[in-house]
Amino acid sequence: MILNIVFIPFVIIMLTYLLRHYIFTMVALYYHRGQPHPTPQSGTYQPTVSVLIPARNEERVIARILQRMIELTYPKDKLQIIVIDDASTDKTNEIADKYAEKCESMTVVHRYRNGGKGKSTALNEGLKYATGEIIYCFDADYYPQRDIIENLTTYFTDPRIGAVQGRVTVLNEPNTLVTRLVALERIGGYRIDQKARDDLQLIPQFGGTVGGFRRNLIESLGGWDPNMLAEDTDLTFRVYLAGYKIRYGNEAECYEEAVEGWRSYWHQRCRWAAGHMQCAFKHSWPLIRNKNLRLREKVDGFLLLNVYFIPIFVGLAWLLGAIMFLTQSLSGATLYWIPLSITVYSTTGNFAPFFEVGIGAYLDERKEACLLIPLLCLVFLYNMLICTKAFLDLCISKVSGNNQHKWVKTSHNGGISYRVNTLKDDDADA
Amino acid sequence: MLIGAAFTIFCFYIFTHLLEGPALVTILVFNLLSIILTFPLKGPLWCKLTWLGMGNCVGIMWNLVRFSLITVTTGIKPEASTLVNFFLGPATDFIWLVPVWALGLSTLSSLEHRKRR
Repeated sequence: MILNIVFIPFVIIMLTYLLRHYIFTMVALYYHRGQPHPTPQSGTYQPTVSVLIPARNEERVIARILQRMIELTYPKDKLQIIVIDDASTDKTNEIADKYAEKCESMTVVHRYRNGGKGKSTALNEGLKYATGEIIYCFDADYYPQRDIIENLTTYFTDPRIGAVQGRVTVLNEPNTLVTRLVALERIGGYRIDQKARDDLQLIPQFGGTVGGFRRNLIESLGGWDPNMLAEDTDLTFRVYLAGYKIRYGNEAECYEEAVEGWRSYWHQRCRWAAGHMQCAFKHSWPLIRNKNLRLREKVDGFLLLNVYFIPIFVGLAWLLGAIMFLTQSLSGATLYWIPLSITVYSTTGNFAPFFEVGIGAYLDERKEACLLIPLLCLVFLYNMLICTKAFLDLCISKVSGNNQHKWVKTSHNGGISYRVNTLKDDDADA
Repeated sequence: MLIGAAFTIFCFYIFTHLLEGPALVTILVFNLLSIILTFPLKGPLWCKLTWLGMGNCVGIMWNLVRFSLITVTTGIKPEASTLVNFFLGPATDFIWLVPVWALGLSTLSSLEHRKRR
C-alpha cells in the first residue's frame, strides 16, 4: 500500500512531463504565428551592440569566429567586439591580438592574473569594457550567420524584452555517433521546445551563448553569478524575476562544434545537470512566490528548472517497480498501472521524447536524421547516470560546505573547417 | 485523422481478442502517436495508412514472438522468466515502436521533399 502511494507521484510527474512535451510538439506543428505573439520584422532599430567572446585555450577555433565577427553585416560603427582571453596558455591570445589589429572595433582583454575561474568571471570582466546598449555572448567554438545581430536585435524594439536567444545547430554532425545524437537533441530542444515556449509566451531559456541582453538589465542584476555552474539558466530566471521577458529567434541561427566523444559528453552534461539543479534549488521558491509572473509561466519555469531530476525519478521508479513486483502480489489494476507508466517512461525519455525530436527533424526536412531516433534511448540511459552523479556531487558539496565547483572546460578540436567553408560558399551564393 | 482513428478502433477491437494488457497498451501508444502526430502532417494518405498498418502488424508479430519465448522460458524457470519479462518487456517494446514510427516519418518526409523538388 505504501509503495503504491509512493509510486503514484512518480507516474504523475512522468505524465506531466509527457503532456508538456506533447503540447510543445503540437504547438510547433500547428501554431500559426501572427496575431497573439508577433515576431518583430527586421527594421531600422540599430542600437549600439557589444559582443563578448570568452576564450580559454581555444587556438584551434578562435580564428574562425573572429573572422566571422569581421564579416557581420551589422553597421561597424555600432558594433564593439570584446574577446576575453581567460589566461590561455596556448596561442589564443596571439591570434586574438592579430585580429584586433585588423579590426578597429575589436578589443582583446587579457586576464593573466585572475583568469581561468570559469566563463561567468570572464564575461563579467568583459562587461566592464562593454559600451553597447545590447550585450551579446558567443562561445569561441560557435559560428554565427552574418546577419545574426540584426535578427536578434530586432526583438529589443519591445521594451519588455530583456534578453533574446538564437538557435544553435550542430556543425560537425556527420563526425561521430555522439555528434549525430547531440544534433537530434538540439533539434528537439530548439526547433520544438524553445519555439513552442516562445509561441506560448512561456519561459524560453537563455542558453549562455548565441543570445543577448540589455546592458542596463545585466548590470542591474549584478552580471553573471560566478558561483553558478549553469550561469545561463540562472540568468534566465533572474531576468524573469526582474519582470522582463526573453524571446527566442528560430531564424537567428548559429553553428556549434558539438562534443565528439562519450567522455566529453559526460563532463559537459554533468556540469549542465549540476548547474541546473543548483538553479532549481535557488529559483524554485522565488519563482512560485513571484507576483509578476502568470500561472503558465510559473508552471513552465518550475518544470524547466526541475527537468534534470527526471532521469533520477525514472531510475527510482524502475527500482520501486522492482521492489513492488518482488514484495507484493500485484492486483489487476497495479499490473496495468506499472507497465503503462514504464512504457511511457521507456518511450518518451526526459529532455526530448522521440516523437518531439522526430517532428522537429520533419520540420527541418531532415529525413535521414529520423532514422537515428531509436538510439536516443542510449542517450537517455546515459543521462540517468549523469544526472544521478551530478545530484550526488551537489549533495556532497552541500553537506561538506564546499560550494566551489570545479569548471571542467569542454575542449574543441576545430576539425570542421571544411564545413565552415561550405557555409561561406552558401553565404556568397545567397 | 478520422480515417486513422477509425482504423485504430477497428484494430483495437480485433486485438483485444488476440493480445493481453501491456502488448495492447504498446500498440495503442503507437496508434495514438501515429494518428495525432503523423496523420495531420503533409503527405499522401496511402503512405500514412501503410505505415500505421505496418506498425500494427509488426507490433502483433513482435508480441507473438515474445509470448512464445515467455511460454517456453516459463516452463524452464517460471519465476525468473516472469521477472525478466516484467522488466524488460516495456524496454523491448521500445525496439519496435520507435523505429517503425521513425521510419514512417522519414518516408513521409522523403516523399514530401521529392514532391516539392
